[in-house]
Amino acid sequence: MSTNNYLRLQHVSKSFVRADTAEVTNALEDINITFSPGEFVSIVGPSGCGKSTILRLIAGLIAPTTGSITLGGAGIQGTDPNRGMVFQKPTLFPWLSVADNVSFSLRMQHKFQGRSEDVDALIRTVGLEEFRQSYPHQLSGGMAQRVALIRTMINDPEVFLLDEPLGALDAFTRMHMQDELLNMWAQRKRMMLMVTHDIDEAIYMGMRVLVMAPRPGRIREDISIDMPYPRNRTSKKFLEYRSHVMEMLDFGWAEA
Amino acid sequence: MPLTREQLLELERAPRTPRQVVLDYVICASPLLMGALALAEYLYIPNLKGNTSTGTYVVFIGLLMTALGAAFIAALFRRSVFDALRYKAPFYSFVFILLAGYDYLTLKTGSLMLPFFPWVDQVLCAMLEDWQYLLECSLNSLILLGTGYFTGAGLGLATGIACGYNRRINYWIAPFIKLLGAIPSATWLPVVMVLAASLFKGSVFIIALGVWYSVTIATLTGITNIDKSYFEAARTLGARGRQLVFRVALPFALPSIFQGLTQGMSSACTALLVAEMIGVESGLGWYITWQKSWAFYGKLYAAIVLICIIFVLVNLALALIKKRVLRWQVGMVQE
Repeated sequence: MSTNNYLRLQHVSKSFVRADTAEVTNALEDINITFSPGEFVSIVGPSGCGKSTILRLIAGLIAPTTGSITLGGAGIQGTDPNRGMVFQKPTLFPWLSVADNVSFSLRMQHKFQGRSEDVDALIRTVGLEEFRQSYPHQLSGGMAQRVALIRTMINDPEVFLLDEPLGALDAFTRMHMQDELLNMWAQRKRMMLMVTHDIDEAIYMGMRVLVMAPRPGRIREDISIDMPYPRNRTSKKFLEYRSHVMEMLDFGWAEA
Repeated sequence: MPLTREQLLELERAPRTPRQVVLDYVICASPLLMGALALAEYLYIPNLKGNTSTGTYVVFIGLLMTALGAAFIAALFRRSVFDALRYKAPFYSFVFILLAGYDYLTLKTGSLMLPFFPWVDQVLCAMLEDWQYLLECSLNSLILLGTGYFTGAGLGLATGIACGYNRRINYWIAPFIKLLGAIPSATWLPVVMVLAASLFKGSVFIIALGVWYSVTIATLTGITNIDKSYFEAARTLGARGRQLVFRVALPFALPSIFQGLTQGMSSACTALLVAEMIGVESGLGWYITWQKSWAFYGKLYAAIVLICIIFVLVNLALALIKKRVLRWQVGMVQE
């Protein structure tokens, strides 16, 4: 795969009509960002700042009001398995077993022939081989989210969009899954864009952290996290980044 | 050494006193006792003058008792059979008491108006005597029911999917579905019987209409209620167009569709009998009206019993198919 498959958002804005008042709100205004191949970028911000909207635009689930989104120079048209997305809810299809959920995408693209080994291998990487034939409602929240991750991973997408994928998990499962996700990323070096409302998570995982502000949604700061992986959550540098992001989000403590 | 399910239940069961244990055995044997009582009532109480009885009823009760006796013996050896029998036995006893009571009120005393309430022996004899005819009628009923039901269900599924998937189709068709659905399908009977090329086709139409309506509505509801996030996930995974309908919307709607199929079955059974009693000259419904005109109430009740058995079996088959198709729901919290 060519190394210049940059993902570019140029002058992107998105407006919605509110359902209750028919008023038009600007969810995003004049967004300009470039993401490099293989980069892990965290996006944080308060609710209503349009961080999920950015992911949905890149996924092709919605179209921008103005501006252009290009991947490797080509404009984005609709959804594509090459831009995979994982949602906060696992959204596993309840009528399919774990194995069938993971192979769903291949079947839809008529590529399943001869790939069942790959499906099994992926299920093994997240330690769920015993649950191959289980149905989603028999899984715990963490297990379901793992299945959702590998269901997208099976396509080996160039861009991996993560919309608060760990948001519904308990604190311990969550920290565990953060490392699992970083492992997946380290092995594949695909571009990962993760929306989160957890500042620690954003700094722990991202090479860059985009801090967003609401009304209208815009990027307030683009911070490069200059720390090697695996990161220490309690190191001095980590905490410095943390208080910096806090300040950006107007939650900082004034120096006494 | 892992425990079996039965051993675990046994371990956790509250200890039972000797008196309770004896009582359990007595309760398990009670249906046999009540069966004997029913036999005694039939054999030793003299019939009302003019009423005749045969040995058929004795054989019938005897067969039931044999089955229960076998169950009792099996219960002595298997805990699970014992528990099942212990649970069901009081009800079986009650059935024997009902049989004996009914026999007393009809054959023995004639307290219930004759000939409208034939005694069980009479119904059994009618069934044996006319079995070939009854079998033929049952088959005809089943063929009519099956043809009507599957036509209606197929068309309903197609209409529901088309309306659920395509807004424009929904716009033009949905109002008609609502209007037509408000009319009970039997209303069309007089018109259909005059217009239809054959009575069979007419009846198929009547039966199919009710099924079509409930399956259409159920499919449509199932599809419109789909959580949009499933569509979004499927789209990012590369599903499009028809795949979204047949691989996402339809499986999601299946539980609702099965509700429609069950509801449709009950309306189909009603429509079948109405059609047979009014128009078609075959089937159990027709047999009932025919025997009534001859005042053969034994045969009439025999047909009713058969209808009951057939409908129960048909619904059971549907329930089994449903359980198989919706096995992914097992253990899921029902909404």
